Amino acid sequence: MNVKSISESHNTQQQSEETYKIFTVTVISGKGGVGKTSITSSLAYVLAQQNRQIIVADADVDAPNLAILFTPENSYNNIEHSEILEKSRETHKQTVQTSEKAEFIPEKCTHCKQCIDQEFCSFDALSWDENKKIPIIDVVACEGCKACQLLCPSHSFQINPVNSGTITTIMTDYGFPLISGETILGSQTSGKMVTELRKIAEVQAKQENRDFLLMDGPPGIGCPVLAAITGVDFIVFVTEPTTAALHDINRAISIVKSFNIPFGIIINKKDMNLEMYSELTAFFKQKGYEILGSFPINSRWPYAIVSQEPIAKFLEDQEILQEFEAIAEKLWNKRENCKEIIEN
Amino acid sequence: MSETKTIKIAVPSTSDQGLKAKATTRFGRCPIFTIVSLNDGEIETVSIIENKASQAMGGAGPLAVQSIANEGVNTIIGGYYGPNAANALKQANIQMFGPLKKENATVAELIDAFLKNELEEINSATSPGHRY
Amino acid sequence: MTYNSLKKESITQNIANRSFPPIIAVTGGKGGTGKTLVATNLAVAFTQSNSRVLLVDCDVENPNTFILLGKSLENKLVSSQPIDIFIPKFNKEKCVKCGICQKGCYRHAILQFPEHYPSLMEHLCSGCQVCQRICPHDAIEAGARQIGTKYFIPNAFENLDLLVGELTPSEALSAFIVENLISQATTPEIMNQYDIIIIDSAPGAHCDVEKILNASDMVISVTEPTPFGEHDLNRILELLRLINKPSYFILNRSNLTNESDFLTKKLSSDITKYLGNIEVDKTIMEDYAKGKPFVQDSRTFPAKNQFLEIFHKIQAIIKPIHDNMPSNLRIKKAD
Repeated sequence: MNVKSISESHNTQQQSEETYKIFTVTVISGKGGVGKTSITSSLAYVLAQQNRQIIVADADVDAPNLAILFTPENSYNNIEHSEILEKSRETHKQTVQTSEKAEFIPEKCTHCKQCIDQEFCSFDALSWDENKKIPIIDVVACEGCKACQLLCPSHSFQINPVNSGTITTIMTDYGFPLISGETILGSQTSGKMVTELRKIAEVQAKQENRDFLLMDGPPGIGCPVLAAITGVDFIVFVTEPTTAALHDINRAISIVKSFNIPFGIIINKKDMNLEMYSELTAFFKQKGYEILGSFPINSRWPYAIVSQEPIAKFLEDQEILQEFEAIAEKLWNKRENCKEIIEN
Repeated sequence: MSETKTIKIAVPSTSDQGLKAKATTRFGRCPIFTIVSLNDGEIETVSIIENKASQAMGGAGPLAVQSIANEGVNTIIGGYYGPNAANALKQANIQMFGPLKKENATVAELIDAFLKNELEEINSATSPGHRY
Repeated sequence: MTYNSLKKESITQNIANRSFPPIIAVTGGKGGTGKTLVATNLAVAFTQSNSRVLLVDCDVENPNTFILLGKSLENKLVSSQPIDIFIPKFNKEKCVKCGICQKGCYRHAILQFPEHYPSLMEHLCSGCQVCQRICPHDAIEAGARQIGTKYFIPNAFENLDLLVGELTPSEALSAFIVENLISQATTPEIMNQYDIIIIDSAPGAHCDVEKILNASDMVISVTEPTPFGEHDLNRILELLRLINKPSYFILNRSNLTNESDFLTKKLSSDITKYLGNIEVDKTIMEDYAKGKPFVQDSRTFPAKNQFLEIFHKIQAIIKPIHDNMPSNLRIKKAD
């Protein structure tokens, strides 16, 4: 993959992939809005308070929100992602090219219109400009499949790599780096962005001797989710007691099981529907799924987001803090167990 | 492996210095493949090919397999093979061996270890790779 | 619908050639802000004012509309259809092992080893058909691989039909399913049967969402009064600016924080106008849990009134599109 970077060294990247093993935990939910990012931020905060050498990544590259909770100064009045990162102590920013798109070369075109008449493009990215008698490329729809380049008799198309987003590293006030990715709008390549993000996180982890990567995953079960869970060591599911959330988490669990990755579940907003909550816990227990912990609805929770602080820190609620600490401890122990297996 | 068959080994390498080149465990995106032909336990020829897949946007594993298969390679000594690469290597009937547990090993050292039967044969993917 | 028939009914063509019914997209950027809640209740509210409604669930990774409407996909009345993509099938009688298909595959999904027939790594294939077109020996035939399913639930409610797309777990090509759904929903035969089409979108601002926004006459974003809601909505608004499509937004769970008024002012712009707010409400939660649209709840509660107010504004906005329709001819004939 073609990474244009300001200060990247190819050697380090190579070494890290060869010899460095980082324990990776991804937080996903299937359904959005169940508290994934809030919970990830708090787990990161609690692990850092326990002096664990962690690194954190926001793999929700279509709606990256984790950086908002780790912004050193209150910049709620300017919530533009890039601006948040600029205000924080940004250490590293790079543009990523993970896809290719067609470009039209007007000088070569003989206006034969074969590209339209013979439907070169399977992705509906070509249309005809009746005035200029030339094709128009819809760059969002274009997949870079090279059909137009290969089939055009006058060779009027070429395929070029294009920018697909940016990946930024900041050092948070809590002593760990946060790697944050953001795709260009309308992008189709968020899966590859996630893969790239993970590579960068792994390089930095190795440089700084950090061996625990906590990743906030995207919603859904599509391409970016697959990229965020491929090859990780543990998955944390966040869900809530509603039928929709249960439906979505079951779809996500079916994938994680097919990947053979161990996982545990956090039930958020459990008192939203207590009847459903007990049904849910019974269902998970019967399936043999591990329940890592649960949280009640807290009316001050949204204010933590407004104040741009991890929930566990903002609420100053002993019970909630202890629950996060207990979950963080469980995750850390999974890393220890994993290490033993590797070493033996 | 039959005795009469020529063994043609590809070693993912970091440079173009032939047997002296440093080997890498990365398969799909290594810059160079050093290709070593063995006959009767002796090195017959050494050549190098550039790995075009190292710059590919996606599907680097299968593309790398395709290019070494085109060279007639039947054995590979690497380290980590992703699921796509492992699948393609099997289809191409290329035997996977891997890694020498020594940092900064050279191609020559790997070939030596291979000849002494010190390398383990691998039958399935050993790294999660990038499925998509 | 097969891959090839989908091609012929190109989305852009359908949209250009029709004038009716209006298509409303419900989106928002952030997950869990209440997109599906708004889309389903909006659909039911329209049926209550005697409109025939088609609700299209384009959140294909996690379709939830049927759950919020208390329906199941495993029902005799539900018709389901696989959604397939093209994959190459190599005809060994014609293939001369020339390797041209392998070289032309941008995904490197085709392998062709010396003296061997080509083979396909199925999950890498995007269905672009380039291999079939460039094969000089006509040795590649069209095969199919299922990547999802679409379900049609007629009369999910009185006057409401539901079209749901679902991506098969472990598959990645969600955009293809979205395209298939929009393509079907915008065929003249389908459009003829309805007074309004409502599309529920996935979270995010990626190409699935872009396709939906492009196909719509009116875009409604649902967000919540937190920096997360604001940030993700801003990405949608930027996207709308790129494709030059004005929109409206709803602030859901408006009393979750005390930022609502501030946010309403800040978000309103030339590209988006404020439609109204919906408060956090216990009754909504109860109905949600039961799979019942809250607009059908006979009780009166503030959030329902707030929603109905929004609904009446939406009705007023789409009325001109409605009235422009020639009464005897719903679809403009293509030239």
